[in-house]
Amino acid sequence: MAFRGKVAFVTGAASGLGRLAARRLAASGAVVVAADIDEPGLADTARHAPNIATQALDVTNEASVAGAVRDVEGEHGGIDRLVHAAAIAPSGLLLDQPPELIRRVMEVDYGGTVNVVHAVVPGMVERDRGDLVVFASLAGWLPAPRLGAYTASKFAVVAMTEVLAMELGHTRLRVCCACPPLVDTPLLEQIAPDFPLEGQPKLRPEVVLDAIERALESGDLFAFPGPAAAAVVARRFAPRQVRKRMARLLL
Amino acid sequence: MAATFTVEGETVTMPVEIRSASTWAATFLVPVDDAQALIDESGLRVASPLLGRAMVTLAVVRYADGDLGPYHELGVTVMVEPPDPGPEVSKLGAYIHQLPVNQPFTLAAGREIWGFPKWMAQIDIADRRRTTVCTLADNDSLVLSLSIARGLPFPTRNAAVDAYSYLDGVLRRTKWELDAGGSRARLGGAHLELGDHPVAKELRSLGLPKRALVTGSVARVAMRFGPSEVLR
Repeated sequence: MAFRGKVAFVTGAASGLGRLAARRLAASGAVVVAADIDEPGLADTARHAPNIATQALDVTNEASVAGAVRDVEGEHGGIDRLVHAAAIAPSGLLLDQPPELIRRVMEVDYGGTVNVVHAVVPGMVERDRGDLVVFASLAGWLPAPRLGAYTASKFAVVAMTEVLAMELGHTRLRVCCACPPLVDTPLLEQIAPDFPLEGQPKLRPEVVLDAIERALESGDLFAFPGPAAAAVVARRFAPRQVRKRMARLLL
Repeated sequence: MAATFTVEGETVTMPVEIRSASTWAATFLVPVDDAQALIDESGLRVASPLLGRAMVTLAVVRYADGDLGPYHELGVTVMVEPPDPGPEVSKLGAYIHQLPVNQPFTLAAGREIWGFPKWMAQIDIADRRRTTVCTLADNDSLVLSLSIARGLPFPTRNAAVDAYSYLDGVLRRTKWELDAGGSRARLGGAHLELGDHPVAKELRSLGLPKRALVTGSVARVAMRFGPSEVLR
C-alpha cells in the first residue's frame, strides 16, 4: 500500500521495530505520530523527518492514550494505520521475579494493547478502513523459560488479537499480529541480563516489517517472520520434545 | 578529522551512513547515441559493455534509517566510462542523470555536498506480494510508474560504485559503498508506464518503455557516502 498523505500512529517508536516502522511510513509521505515514554528516543526517530510528530505517551494510562488519539485525529484526521510496538521484556525465572513486576509486564504488554486498540479501532470501524498492526511475539506461541512474564503477556496479545480479528470480520479493516522470534533491537538489552542470548539467531527488524506488509497484503492474521513459522509448527506437533529442548537451551 | 558540511543549519559529518534501506531497480539496454545525447553536457562518455548498447537503470530506494532522515528516491542512471581512467578508478561508473526525492533535508544535502541532481517530487512505493510498484509524480503530473516483479534469491557481496554527477557546471565523483542482504534478481520483470512530464520525454528519447534486461531488489542495504571529488 502507498502511504502518502495517510495518517499513522506508532507506539514504541523511540527505538527498534517501532522506530523503523515510523521512519518507513514517514519516508512514504505519511503523517506519522510517533509515541513512546522515551522522549529523547522519539526526538532521534523524528530527526530530519518533517512529517513525524512526537507524542510522549505511557500506554498503560488509558485516559492518556485516548486523549492522544483524539488529538491525533483532531489535528491530522482519521488514523489509517496503527502500529503498536510498545512493550517491555525483563528476563528472569518466574519465581525470582517479584509478582508486581510480572503484573507490570502484563499491564504494559497486554494492557497497553487493550488501551491502544480501544482508542484507535472504533474510529477505523466507523470509517470502515484502516490497518491494525500489533506486535505479539514467537513467545506468544512457544513458551520461553526466563521470559515467563513476557510469554504470558504475549499469549494474551495473540488471543485478544485473534478474537478481535473475528469480531472485525464484517469490516474492511486489515489486522496483523506480528510474532517474530528474537529481533536485533534494543529490547534485547532488557532480555539480556538473565537470558542466554549468545549464539541465538536474531532477525533484522527489516525482515519483520517486510513480513508484516506481506501478511497485510495476503490477508494473513499472523505474520511469522524468519524461523518463527517452523517453530510454531514444531510446538503444535511435538510439544513435549519442544519443551525439553527449550528447557535444555535456556535453563 | 572527518570532513563536515553545514546543511540547513545542521552539521553533516562524512562519511554519511545509511543504516537501513531497500532498493528495487530495472536495467534497460538502449542505443548508445541516444544515451550519449542525454548526458552529453556532463562531458562523460557512455559505456557500452553489453551487446554494444548503453545501460540505463531506474533505481528506487526507500531510506528508512540514515543520517539524512527517512525518504524515497528514484534515480535515472547511465553507465559511463571514467573521465580519468587509472589504477585507482573503477572501469565503469554510474552517472546520475535525475535523482528526485520526497524530503527537503536530503534534497539540500544531496545538491550541496555531492552535486546530486535532486529535486522534490512525489514518490510512492507500494510493496505487494509479487511486485513492487513505484510511482513518480511532479505536482501530481505523472512522470512514470514502474512495476518490478519479485525475483529469485541472488547472492551479493559488498560493493563499491563510483557515482558521477553534473550540477551547475561542476562534474563530481562520489565513492559509494554498499552492503547488501536479501537480494533478488531475474531477467525482465519490469513494467514501465511514462507520463507527459519532461523527464518522461527524456526516457522516451531512449526508446523506453521497453522490456528490461534485468530487474532486482535488495531488501536490506547499508550504504556509506564519502565527500565528493570535483573532477572539473
